[in-house]
Amino acid sequence: MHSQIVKPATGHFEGAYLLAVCVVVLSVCGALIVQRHTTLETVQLQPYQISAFADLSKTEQGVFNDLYAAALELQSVHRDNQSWLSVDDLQDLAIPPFAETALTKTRGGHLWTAIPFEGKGASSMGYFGKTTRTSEARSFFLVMTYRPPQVPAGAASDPNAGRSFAIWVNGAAAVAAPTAIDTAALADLGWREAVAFKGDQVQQGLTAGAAK
Amino acid sequence: MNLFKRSAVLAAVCACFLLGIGGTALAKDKLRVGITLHPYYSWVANITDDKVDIIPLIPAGFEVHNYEPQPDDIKRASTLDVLVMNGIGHDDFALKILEAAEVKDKVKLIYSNEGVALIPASGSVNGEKMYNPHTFIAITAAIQQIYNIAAELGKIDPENAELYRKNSRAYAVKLRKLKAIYVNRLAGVDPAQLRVATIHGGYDYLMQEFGLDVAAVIEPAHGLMPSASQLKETIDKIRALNVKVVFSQMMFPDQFVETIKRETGASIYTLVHITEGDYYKAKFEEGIEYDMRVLTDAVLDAQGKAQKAAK
Repeated sequence: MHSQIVKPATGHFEGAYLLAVCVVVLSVCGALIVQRHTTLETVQLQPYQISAFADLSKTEQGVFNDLYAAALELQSVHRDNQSWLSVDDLQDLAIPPFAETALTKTRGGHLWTAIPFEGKGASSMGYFGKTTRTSEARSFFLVMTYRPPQVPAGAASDPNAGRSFAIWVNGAAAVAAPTAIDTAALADLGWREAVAFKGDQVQQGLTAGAAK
Repeated sequence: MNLFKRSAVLAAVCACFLLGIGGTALAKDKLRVGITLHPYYSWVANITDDKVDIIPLIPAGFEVHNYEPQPDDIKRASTLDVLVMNGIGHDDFALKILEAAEVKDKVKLIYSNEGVALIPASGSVNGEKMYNPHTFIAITAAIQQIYNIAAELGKIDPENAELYRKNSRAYAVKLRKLKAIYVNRLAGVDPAQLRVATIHGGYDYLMQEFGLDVAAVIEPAHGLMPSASQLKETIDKIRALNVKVVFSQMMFPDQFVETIKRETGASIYTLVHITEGDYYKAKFEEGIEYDMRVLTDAVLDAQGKAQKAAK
């Protein structure tokens, strides 16, 4: 009589093979994740700067964006006239936030004055917007500057070269119109430069920074 | 025919031929500017008058949020000198098309948002503030882009740079005047008191211009429809935040809108995304004016209802 001992089907080998396959798959995936992992870098701000994206309220962002668009208009006009527009001019042209609209009353009710600054080979105009309600928005200070660029004879020049602007914010209720526009003087008086988070920074893979 | 006459005829034929060649050459010299979204068509048309040919990269009638490149797009892309694109959302397909057409190094890219001040999208992902790429549905952000596009086109086409700059300023003035009409409709109203929700997260820049705060966005992610449970969560949120106005948008399914209206009692208004239909010069002005009219109607209606309720 022939007899054969048949081992019970425990599935030990199959289980081991499956485990091995799982380990291989997880190892390969893990290695790929580590290899392809990138860390988004954050826009670095100086101690005197804040982020217009992260550190301004929604109301203030509205004022900031209006000022930002107005600055581009001021640069274009300066190219034609070699002078900065007055607040009256800006109001006549209905350029926000200088022109009073239905919105002005709910966004801080800023009172605007233009202050010219000359010196160090540059022509600047500061537009000081003092808030009348700090609960709605802080005061703003837009500084437009033109410094004639040094272009070598015969070299092509960028038509916008030499023109720049900066937007500053101050939350003090009793803030006075600045008498100087250099960074240190403004920072000492409690002004903080609000820096826009822009499309080109998104393309560089940066994320918006915030004040430290 | 004597020799003189023959020479004259020959000279005339040559002149016609040369003029023809010259004409063709001049026509070829016209810059071919591609665009990805409808507003860019309007902006480039207003900046350049007829100095360039404007070529929409994708045909009219396609939905940009989920667009997949088609073979004809590659043909069009291969003829471009310049491409104006958003670059931070909505038109990722453009780079795929340029790559497929093997013209990525030849076509000069103008990123309209390069110098634009971005704002956070309403709602947040894991508590992080995400930027909103819909800078093309607002006047202030449009003006920033129009100046940027004009400056960049001027660098590529210096001969017409001054014209582009002047046109961009005139166009900015026109758009600002258009906005002023609608902002001043809200005289005596504080829009910040009104809580609104939007179906699509594309209107933050527009709402900001009118002092409105978007309390909730209904779609769970950009361009995605909510599931039943997500819709319920949103309805609960709208009720909890006491949202009175919901801005829907064309192409959003009616069944969702009806459910929201029935369950929350909020008034529904429909906005346009300005990325649908035909491409033409006045498209942006018409679209944005429509949105501004709807938005101000909504605020005024809500205020009227609030006043009636107070009496």
